[in-house]
Amino acid sequence: MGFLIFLAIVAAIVVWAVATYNKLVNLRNGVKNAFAQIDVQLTRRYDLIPNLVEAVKGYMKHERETLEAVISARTRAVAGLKEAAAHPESAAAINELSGADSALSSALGRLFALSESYPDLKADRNMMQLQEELTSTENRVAFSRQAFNDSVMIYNNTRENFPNNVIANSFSFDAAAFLQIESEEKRQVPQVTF
Amino acid sequence: MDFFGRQAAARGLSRWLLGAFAIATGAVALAVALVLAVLINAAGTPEGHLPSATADPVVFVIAAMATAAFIGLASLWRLSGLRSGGGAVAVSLGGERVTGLEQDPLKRRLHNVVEEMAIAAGLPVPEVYILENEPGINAFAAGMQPANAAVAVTRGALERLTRDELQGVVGHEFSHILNGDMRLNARLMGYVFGLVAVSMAGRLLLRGAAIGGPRGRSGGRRGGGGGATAALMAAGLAVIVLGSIGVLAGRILQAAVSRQREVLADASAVQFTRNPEGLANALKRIAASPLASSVRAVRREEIGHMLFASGRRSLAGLMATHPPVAERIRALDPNWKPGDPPPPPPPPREVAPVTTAAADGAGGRGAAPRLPGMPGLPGLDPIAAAAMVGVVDLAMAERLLAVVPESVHAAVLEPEGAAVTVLALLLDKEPAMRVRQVNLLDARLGAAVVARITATADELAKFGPTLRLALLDLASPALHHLPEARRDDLVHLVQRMIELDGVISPQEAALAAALESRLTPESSGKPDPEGALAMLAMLARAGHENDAEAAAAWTQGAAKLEAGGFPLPSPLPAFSDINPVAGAASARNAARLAAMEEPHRQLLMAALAEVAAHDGIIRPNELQLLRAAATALGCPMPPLEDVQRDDSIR
Repeated sequence: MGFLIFLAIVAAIVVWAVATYNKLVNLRNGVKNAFAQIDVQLTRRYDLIPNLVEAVKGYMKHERETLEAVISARTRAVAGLKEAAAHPESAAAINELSGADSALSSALGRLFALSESYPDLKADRNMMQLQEELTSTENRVAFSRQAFNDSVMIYNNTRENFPNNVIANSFSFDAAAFLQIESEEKRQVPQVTF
Repeated sequence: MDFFGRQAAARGLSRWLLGAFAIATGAVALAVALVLAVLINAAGTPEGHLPSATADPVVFVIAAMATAAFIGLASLWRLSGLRSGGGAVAVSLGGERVTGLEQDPLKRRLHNVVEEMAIAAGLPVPEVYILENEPGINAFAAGMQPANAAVAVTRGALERLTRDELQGVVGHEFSHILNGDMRLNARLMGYVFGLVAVSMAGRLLLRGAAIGGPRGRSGGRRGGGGGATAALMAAGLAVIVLGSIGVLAGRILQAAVSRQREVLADASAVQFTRNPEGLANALKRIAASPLASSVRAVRREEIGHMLFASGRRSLAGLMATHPPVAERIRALDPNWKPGDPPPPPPPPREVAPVTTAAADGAGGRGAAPRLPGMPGLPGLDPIAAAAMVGVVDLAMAERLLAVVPESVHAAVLEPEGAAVTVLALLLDKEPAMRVRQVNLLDARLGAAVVARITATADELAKFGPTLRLALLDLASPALHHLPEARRDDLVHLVQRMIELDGVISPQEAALAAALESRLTPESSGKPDPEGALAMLAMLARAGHENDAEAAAAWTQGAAKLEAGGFPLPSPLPAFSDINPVAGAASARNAARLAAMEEPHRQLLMAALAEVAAHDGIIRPNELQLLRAAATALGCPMPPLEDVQRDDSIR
């Protein structure tokens, strides 16, 4: 009888261990997937920019410098994304990407600020559509970062809670790192002048 | 707002409520079983004795199991009626599908917002619907599984909310999808129906007793007959009362669960958007005008629990599906007071009338009209024309849309309509041929579809060739939404239609090749020198009166190809040897050329532009061929000036 009880306890522990292991695996894959989403959304953003420049070009003949700044920032960001996708573990590549991305953001910000003084452009349906697409894409980038961090949090919580940490530590489920704002530019509050 | 904490609290509370629900259902089942056991015991007492109010434990256990099974079966029966996908529910409520390809900026915005929220929630993008006839601000989610979920939003919500507010509302609906609230609600509805079935059974018992009683009396008094009838009636009444109490408790608990899920959904919406203000402002708008969230057409029991805000007024207290709006706002914005003015309405979206002015003002030939968003085309300079090739130009689509009537345009944006439009484009102008084509279509697609195709064809007859080709471009995104088997069918049908007359015009070949390359996008083919040279020759013959000039133009085009690195046979064949292919060969050619890799296709396009411009004039037929080639090669080419000349609606 005592042996049977012992057996039942062992079986329960094994079942629990398997369930916990599987849960950790699922959560870890969720984190990986969330990271892939960020990549997808950044690409989408960079793909939109040539269309934007094309649409604006006709109106903003005298803002050549701004347009060129946008284009070169995009080129740098695309290169950075390629590099980061090839070496996701390299902190330098990720840093370069986020630097390039925020440079692109500020170039775009200048472009939109300038476009305010072109009423025709502002009322252009094409332009409005592009602006909506860009807003949406910026949101997607932000949301995918946020979904990544949320999934990191859930994974880490599950990993560190007792008794799951016993399983996590014996099967080397490492803690996942949060995405943080690495570059100084991004920490800055945008300057608004009137 | 501590949204994670609030989510955990709401989850915990709804778990308790579900437990209470289970206990209530169990208690009803046991009580009914007790009544039945007593009844059976009474029926079993020998005649002449007074039935005792005791029950045999074995009978009781069996009765309890039978009651539970009865409730379970009734719930399952009710659930089976609910198990349709979210899209079907949305359509049955008058929802129109939004695909994100529409021209309406509000619809595009809605689709974008839904996609963004799908990213934030980590869910597949659900189907999106809009309730066009609902001016109130509301939304709902439907569908039992995340994979077949749908989100529907009222027209009022689209127009009266800002982007951030809409985002909050959609985020709220996503929480319902993520947390399986539709499934939960359906299950609760099923259980409540099980309890309803119990009280219905009691009513049946009562009726049986009422019918059985008099008959027993008329058929001669037998001892205990009256007693049995009385017992049956008492049992029936007891079951009715128990069932009704169960239903009432069930409804109250169901509503309480629903309110907790709403709290959870609000908290999750903030987690997804990280912007409590958007959601709060949407709720404030609803709070400001009492009827703001009313929805006319709603199957309330099914959907009422999933609405963003309670679909009807004056549903307060225990049965309310939603917490009071004021309470929801205060959870997001503690400083809010009921009298506060709502946020300012979103600015009306001013949309400039697109390009009609440009289209009208194109009287002056040669000077290409300046168009918004599109750099001016300096005449018909081949370099410029070639440079524009391959630029996917939103402005071009916009311009064409200004000329295309709304009905045609709308059709092209959804898969079925796009398929119909493509087939309509292929209908021959010549009556005899057309009859044969219609017969073919009739056999394959049925009369209803054919009627639609011919109607569309009549409408398209007004358009010139450029617009017809451009329509194909507009249709191709929607065609991708067709199921794969249907797409293959369509390509096949198109080829059959084209080959009916045995002669394939360059236009037709281009159309078929373009369609095929759009629908089966594989570009791993090798460069095809014979095809490329034949295409150049066809264009050269079309654009020049005498052969010598045509040969010169052709040589120039071939040189351009060679300079770009296009592999050509080393001694070029003589121009006169090249037969500008006609008939079936050119369709195959076009398909082969369309399958080439992109740099080669672009190079060929540039060479074609060079041939066309060789003598300094581009004739209309040359331009048409050029455009047909551009379509077939998948190098979109902005319409030059011919849209205004040929294609404005006559």
